[in-house]
Amino acid sequence: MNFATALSAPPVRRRGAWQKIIRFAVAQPLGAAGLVTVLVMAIAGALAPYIAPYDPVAISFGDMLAPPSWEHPFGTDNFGRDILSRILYGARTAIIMGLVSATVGSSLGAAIGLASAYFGGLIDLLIQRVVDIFLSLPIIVLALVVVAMLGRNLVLGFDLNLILAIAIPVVPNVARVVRSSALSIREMAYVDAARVAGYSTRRIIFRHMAPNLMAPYLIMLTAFIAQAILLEASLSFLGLGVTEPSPAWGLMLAGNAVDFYRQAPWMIIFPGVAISLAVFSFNLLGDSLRDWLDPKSRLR
Amino acid sequence: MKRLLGLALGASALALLATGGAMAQDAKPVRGGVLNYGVAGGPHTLDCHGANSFTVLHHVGPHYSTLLKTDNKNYPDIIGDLAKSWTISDDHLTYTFKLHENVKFHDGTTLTSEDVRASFERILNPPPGVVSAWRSMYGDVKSVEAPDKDTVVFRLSAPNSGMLSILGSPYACIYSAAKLKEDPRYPEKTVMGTGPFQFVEHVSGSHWIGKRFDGYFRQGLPYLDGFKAVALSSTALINALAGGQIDAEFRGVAPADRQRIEASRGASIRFEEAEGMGLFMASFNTRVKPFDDIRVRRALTLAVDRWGGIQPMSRISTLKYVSSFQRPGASNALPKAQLEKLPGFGRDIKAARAEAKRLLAEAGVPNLKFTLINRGPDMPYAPFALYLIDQWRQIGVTVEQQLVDTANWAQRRVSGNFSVIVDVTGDWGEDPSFVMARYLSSDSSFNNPTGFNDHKIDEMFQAQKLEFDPVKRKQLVNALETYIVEQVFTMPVFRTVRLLPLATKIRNYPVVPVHNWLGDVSEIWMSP
Repeated sequence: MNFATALSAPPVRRRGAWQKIIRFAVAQPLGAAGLVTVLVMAIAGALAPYIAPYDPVAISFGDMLAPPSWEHPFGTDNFGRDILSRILYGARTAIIMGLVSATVGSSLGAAIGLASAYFGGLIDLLIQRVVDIFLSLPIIVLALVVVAMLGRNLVLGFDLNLILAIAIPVVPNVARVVRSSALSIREMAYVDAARVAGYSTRRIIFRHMAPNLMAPYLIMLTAFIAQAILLEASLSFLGLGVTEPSPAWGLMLAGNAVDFYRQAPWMIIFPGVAISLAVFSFNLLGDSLRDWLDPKSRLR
Repeated sequence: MKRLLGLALGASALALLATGGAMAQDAKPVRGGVLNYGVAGGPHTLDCHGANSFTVLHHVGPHYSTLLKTDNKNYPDIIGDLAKSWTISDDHLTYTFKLHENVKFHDGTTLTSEDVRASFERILNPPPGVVSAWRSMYGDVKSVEAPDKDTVVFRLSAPNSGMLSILGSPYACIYSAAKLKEDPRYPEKTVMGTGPFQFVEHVSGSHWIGKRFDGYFRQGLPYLDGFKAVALSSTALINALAGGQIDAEFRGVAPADRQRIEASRGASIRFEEAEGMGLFMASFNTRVKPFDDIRVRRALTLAVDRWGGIQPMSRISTLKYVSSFQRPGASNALPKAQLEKLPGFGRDIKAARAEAKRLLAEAGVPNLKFTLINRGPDMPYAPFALYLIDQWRQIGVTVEQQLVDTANWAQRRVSGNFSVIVDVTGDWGEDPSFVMARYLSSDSSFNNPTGFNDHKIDEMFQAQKLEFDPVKRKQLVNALETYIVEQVFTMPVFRTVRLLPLATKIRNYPVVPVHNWLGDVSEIWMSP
């Protein structure tokens, strides 16, 4: 195509956000299903105070250990608390904690990975050795240590220290992946050009390199939201996360459920399904995003 | 037809006689067998004098004798263990004990009164480095003497109507004076007593083994060849009971666990229960606002529906009784009619809650919020706290629960680092002179974490301690208990049930309220 032809060529249509979403849904039906499930859970959690049929913490001994019925679609626990209501309220805890923790961890990890790749040399070496140390620890162990050290710090009903405890194990994982991507971006011609043009380090990192790392960042973020939800459930199950009577999925599986699961299996079935569904949906979304954002993929 | 019926009846009668005969024969103790039981935790020390937990006595208890002990068959009567007999002076200041003769330690040496003297001296005046957890309970003991090899004399500075019970503490194990002289801390490392079982082996985190001591001073005892105590977590204990790996657990299990164990073990296991000694309360830090205001404390106790909650709570936890500080079945317990007049123990919960809201408003904290410190997620701490939080919600009080591990909980309790804390007693006996001692003013009680000081309580406590007439003493104890409940610096709510799983082959084990110690294991036997 010559210059004149290019001038006369019709302008490239910029696709709107909805169109992108529809294209994504068509190309990645599983990812779309994951997205829809996640959205439904998030909306259900947000609207819990309006749609939950019962107060999630109100004890009602007259209804204790009731099986699923019209009055209590998911049954009740040993205190007569409605399990459906607790799952709806628990969705808020799970998704907010998961989202915030994963976002904090991924963002911090991305920043560290990016800086490590950009500066290279001794800085890169030191940062990566520290990352190695953290990566050698199982995620749950790291989270347990942080929770045990920091204790609780409630702000607006959410434990900031718990969020930090879940975010910290995410950091080294994201840092490692982002660093790999950043290393190749660092060698791109436009980055060289920016350096030659005398742009500041901060500008090069945030305006030239960071936008091109959004794909791996988003993929890691969605993957770690699932991990974070699971981690929060695990910590609550172990008694180190959210405490009773607050509804949290992991907490619903602990203690009382262990004592009563034979008489009332619904006490573990429904919270277990909720956790599995949330984790599975985010994983599906993350996998689909990875395929969708892969420039070598023909699925776009 | 009639003939056939007669024959059938005769045969049945014969069968019944035979069975009865067999049962009568079966009732005769049989020597042999190893008692295999679980303990929810390992011993944090081997030294009885420094212990305050069942996890210690469930391991070391069978190896030691005490001067006196609780009679399991006639609980809570006190009988002699090493003491054959005793006399008490008319002024109740001198207790003279005659010891059994030819009592041997497991190393073959003979016990004398010097061993008893030295052991109690160690409790009263612990040498440097020795922990004496119960020292303050013996505050009235001025001296312990051993005038001859079979006689021990306790001289008191003041009369104490509970002294026999205090001297019968299962934690007052008798050690070898000779060994104590060599090393006052030897009991922390070496298990060597005069009890029915000799120490064999302890593998930390796994098991503890004892074998019959053939030189035990009670002829013909113990019946068992030995015992094996297996250290397991609470969950693993239930699994082990259900699976038949262990035959008993002596602290108690929850009703939900009972169903599971019964479903697995069928007729090979039985359950016996007694009112427990675990009293669950909420204690208020009266050094901290607004819990220094009696109106606030009273509101919080009025809000809790004890009578309405206990039946469902008993289905899902080991809490089974509404109780004040004395066990409901204890001889000194408040009569029910009197108890129901006390704040928090009334039957009209609506009126009580209305009054609670009024009190909170009057005290200027209608929407009170605070943190409740609770000990771990264990049974029954978790359901107890949940119930309290729910009940307090009914009067507009918002409570956030903070779970801490046992060591942290104990430390916070002692240091006063709490506003409201889930509190519990686990007394090993029920004489008011030590049961009620924890409610003395904080500046004189070894176990009152609330910071509350009221010397009227101290005076009332002294009065009951000096009263030896049981009827008058009961009146004084009731008045003391009523007064303490009304001050609400600590709020008794529910008491545990001691629900023991015992394999049906285990015989002659009367279940008593106390879970801290195993009781007289020398008389347990196992049917073949």
